[in-house]
Amino acid sequence: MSASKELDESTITLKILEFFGGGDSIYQRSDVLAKTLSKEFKMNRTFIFSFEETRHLFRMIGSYPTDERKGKFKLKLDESDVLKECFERKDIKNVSLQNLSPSEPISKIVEEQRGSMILIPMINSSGIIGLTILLSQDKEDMSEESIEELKELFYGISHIMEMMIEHKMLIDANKKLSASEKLAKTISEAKGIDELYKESLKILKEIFEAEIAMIWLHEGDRLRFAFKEGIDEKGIMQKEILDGHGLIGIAAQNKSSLLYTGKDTEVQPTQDIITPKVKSAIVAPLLDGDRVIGVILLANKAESSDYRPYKHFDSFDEALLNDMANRISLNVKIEKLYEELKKENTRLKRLRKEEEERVNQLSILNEVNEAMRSVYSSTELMKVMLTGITAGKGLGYNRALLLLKENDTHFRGTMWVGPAEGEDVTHIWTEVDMESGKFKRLSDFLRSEASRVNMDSPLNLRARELQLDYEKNEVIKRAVENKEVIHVKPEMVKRESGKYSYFVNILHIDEFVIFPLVARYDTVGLVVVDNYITRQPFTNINVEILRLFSTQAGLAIEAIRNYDSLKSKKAQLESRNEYIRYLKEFNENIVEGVNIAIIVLDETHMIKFWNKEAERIFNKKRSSTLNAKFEEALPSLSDITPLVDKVLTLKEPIELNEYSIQRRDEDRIFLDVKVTPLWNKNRTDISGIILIIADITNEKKLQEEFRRQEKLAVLGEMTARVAHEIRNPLSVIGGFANRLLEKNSCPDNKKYLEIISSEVKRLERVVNEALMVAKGGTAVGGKFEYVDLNDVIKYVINLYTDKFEERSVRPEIILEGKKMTLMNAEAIKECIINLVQNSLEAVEIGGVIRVESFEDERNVGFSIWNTGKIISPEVEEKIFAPFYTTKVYGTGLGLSIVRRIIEDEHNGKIEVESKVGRGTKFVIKFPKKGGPENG
Amino acid sequence: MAKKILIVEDEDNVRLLYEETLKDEGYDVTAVSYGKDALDMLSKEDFDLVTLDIEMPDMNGLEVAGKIREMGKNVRIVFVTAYSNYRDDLSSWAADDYIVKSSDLNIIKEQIKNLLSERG
Repeated sequence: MSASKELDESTITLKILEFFGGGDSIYQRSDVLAKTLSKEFKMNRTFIFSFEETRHLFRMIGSYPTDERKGKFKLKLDESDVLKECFERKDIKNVSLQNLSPSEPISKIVEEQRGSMILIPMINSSGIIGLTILLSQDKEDMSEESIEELKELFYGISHIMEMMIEHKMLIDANKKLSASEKLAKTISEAKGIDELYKESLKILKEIFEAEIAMIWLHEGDRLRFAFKEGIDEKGIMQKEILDGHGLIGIAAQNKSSLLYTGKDTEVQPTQDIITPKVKSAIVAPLLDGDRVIGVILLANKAESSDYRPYKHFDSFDEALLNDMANRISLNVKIEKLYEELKKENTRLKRLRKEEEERVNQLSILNEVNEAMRSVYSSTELMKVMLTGITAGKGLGYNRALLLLKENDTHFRGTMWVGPAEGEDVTHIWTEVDMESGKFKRLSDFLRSEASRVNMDSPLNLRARELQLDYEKNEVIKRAVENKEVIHVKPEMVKRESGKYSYFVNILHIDEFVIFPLVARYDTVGLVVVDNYITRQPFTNINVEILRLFSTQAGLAIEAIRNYDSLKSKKAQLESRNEYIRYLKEFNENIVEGVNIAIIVLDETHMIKFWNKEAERIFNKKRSSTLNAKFEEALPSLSDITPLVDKVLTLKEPIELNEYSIQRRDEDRIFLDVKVTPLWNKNRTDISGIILIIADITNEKKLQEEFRRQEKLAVLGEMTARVAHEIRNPLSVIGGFANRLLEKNSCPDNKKYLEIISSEVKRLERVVNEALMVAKGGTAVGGKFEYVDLNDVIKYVINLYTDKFEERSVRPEIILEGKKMTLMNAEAIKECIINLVQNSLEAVEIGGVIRVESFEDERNVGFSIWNTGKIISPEVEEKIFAPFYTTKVYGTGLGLSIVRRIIEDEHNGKIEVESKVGRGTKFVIKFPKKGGPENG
Repeated sequence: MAKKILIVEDEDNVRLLYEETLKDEGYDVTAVSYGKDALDMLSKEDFDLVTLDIEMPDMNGLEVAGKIREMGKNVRIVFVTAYSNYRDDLSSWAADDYIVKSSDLNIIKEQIKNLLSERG
């Protein structure tokens, strides 16, 4: 049934009741009804009860005559047999009071237990609505007629009753609803808890039509006055009350609502809290779960338009207030939660922002660290570090000053990065910003920026003038010794200006951060960071970041130091290795390349080293001699063994010159041997012997050759002298002999003179040959002329004609044409004489000697061939050598001179061929034109 | 007219030999032992040819030859010596010929004949 529809019915009911002259309160209406019924049925008293379903009781809502128990007197259905019966039967019951048992609740309705009652149940289709009791104390009974009439009437009245009750309920509900609606609206519109309380209080005052409304808030064990309506500030005597004190205190203590209507049975209000006297009041606690957060007080009901006639709050009000209090509490809770949430949200936002900042800074720090780790020199590192601190894209502080430890007492300013005063910083930062866009990674950008640090900027120049004694400066000392990051704030500077004055004077600012650069064990420097330009203070996060940075910078420095020392060690090692390699190669080259045999023995005579030359001299490979005993490997050097021992003992070298050994299957060789001790590395003792052996065989041979040549030269000199001395007498002897021959001596004399002449000639020849050899020229005279070779050959052959006959030799002379040649005819004559002579001596009796001349385009020559004795191969090599002869007589100079004449003087060649069965052939050939230089 | 030959030779026997040999050839022969004497001779008389020994005690034949040329004497000079080694000496070029002494007198006879016929 919709609310509006119900209301319409109520209106009709009201109209009906108007007819009865009733008001619009259910009590009034019930009174009217009771009055009407009493009058109508001539009863003493009439009571109207409404049934409360929930508690299964009847409550008196109307009576005639007026009964002050109205609204309060209750009858419990379950406790009354009479009523039970009545309602079971759904019939009017006539009861005699005297017959009622004393336990029967109905009997309580009147004091005097006499008379009779008519109980009229009021029911409708859904159940019990109410009860009407007609009481007559005079009559014992009611007529049957009347009862019937009543029955009929009460059917309608029931209905009216029902409607009235419904109406009442509706109004109640309506009231509750609108009150709730109002409150809800207020609550929803309230901005903040205070407004919530304030506005709610206003509404409550209005709804409950209270004169005074107050909200007291609970704190700890007491309540504090918070909000008021309808009462002056002056009217509040106490603003704070303890739990349990007065209505308010008890409500808080008991956590339950209270109602005061003026009855003694109720909890009494104290009159020491507010000045207007409390005549009626309702209090309800504001609860958050189990906890009391406050109490609402409504006091002194105002003149009301309500259906209730009395001027005090009732339990309905109490219930309603409780309800509302709950709602308000709930909303307060919500509001509080909301505020908490807001606060929390703000806090979280702030935290998040901080966290973001921290994360951001950490990521920047990471990049700066990357940049620091990627450089390999200390200077670069310092630059990157300071750039990382000051670059906008880096940690973003304004300036960073670096001081490095110079010695145990002083720090020296080294670098200062940041804009100097007067510089257009925004311009710089914008430029830098743009620059940074070029780089993919911050670390790359930082490295690039670092390289552009101007070491001669005004700041840097100032920095390099700074030198501070760290013992004298407390702040520095702390930073260095405790390895602490120190954040100097303006208030600290103000409080202890002396302590910080050094830095303040340099930086011209009163907030800065100092942190040490700590390598593994010691502090190598300090960095001072400030925000000189922007004047931005340092947050905790800033300091935290700088602390982290300080650690990382320290590690980076340590890394560089290690790298540097590694680099220099490596360089040292490399150069040493290089040197060693060089020396080794050098040594190897020398030792192997030198023409000296180097053999190293240990103390037990074991061969430990054997170089290439040793291999050559002794014809033994390294592989066969290493680790063999010296005496076994080189038995030919057995004489050396005692020397080796001697040197081992004496520790002094010994030399052996021109030691000669006979090599197996080879000739004798000559060696210079030096036996020398091999010192160990520390030069404290001998670890072996070095044999240094030089093969001087060649030298010796040369020496001997030289000596021989010298001897020859001397011999030559002497020979020449002798020869020349002999020549004169020879020419005299021979000359006179020839003259005698010309002067026609007697035959005997002639014979002797001829012998003398020819012997002299022979001697002259010897002298010539000897001189030729000694002097190396042709002792024979003669010039170079164009002569016919054939003629010369013929001349010589003619000289030997007799000799040929003597030996029965057939000379075969083959000379064709003319062979004109530029030659020294005398010399060539001598050659031919020599050769013919030799042939004659070699040829057998009756053999052949053939002389043949030849010519080609460039050369001319002749050959002499003879049968007979041949020249054996061993002899062949030697025949041209001076002084060689197989003959018993003769100087043996002949062929060597012939060779000299042909080869040296005539630039020709002489060859010999001698074979068994084929005889001996000499071939001489020389160029037609041109002999030696003096030709 | 017979050609005049001056023989300069310190050894007596050799000098005798050449003197007699050349005289037999029909030359007007004068013989001296020393270089100094030779120069004196040449300054006083004209000769067609001079034979010079080289190894002489006072002045060696090379010097004499040089001096003769200095004197401007237009005379043939022949070294007749036992030593063959001076042939290559620069100073021997002052002479027209160089003959090594030998028992074969034909050589010297021929050479002198040739030298004297070359006049002109």
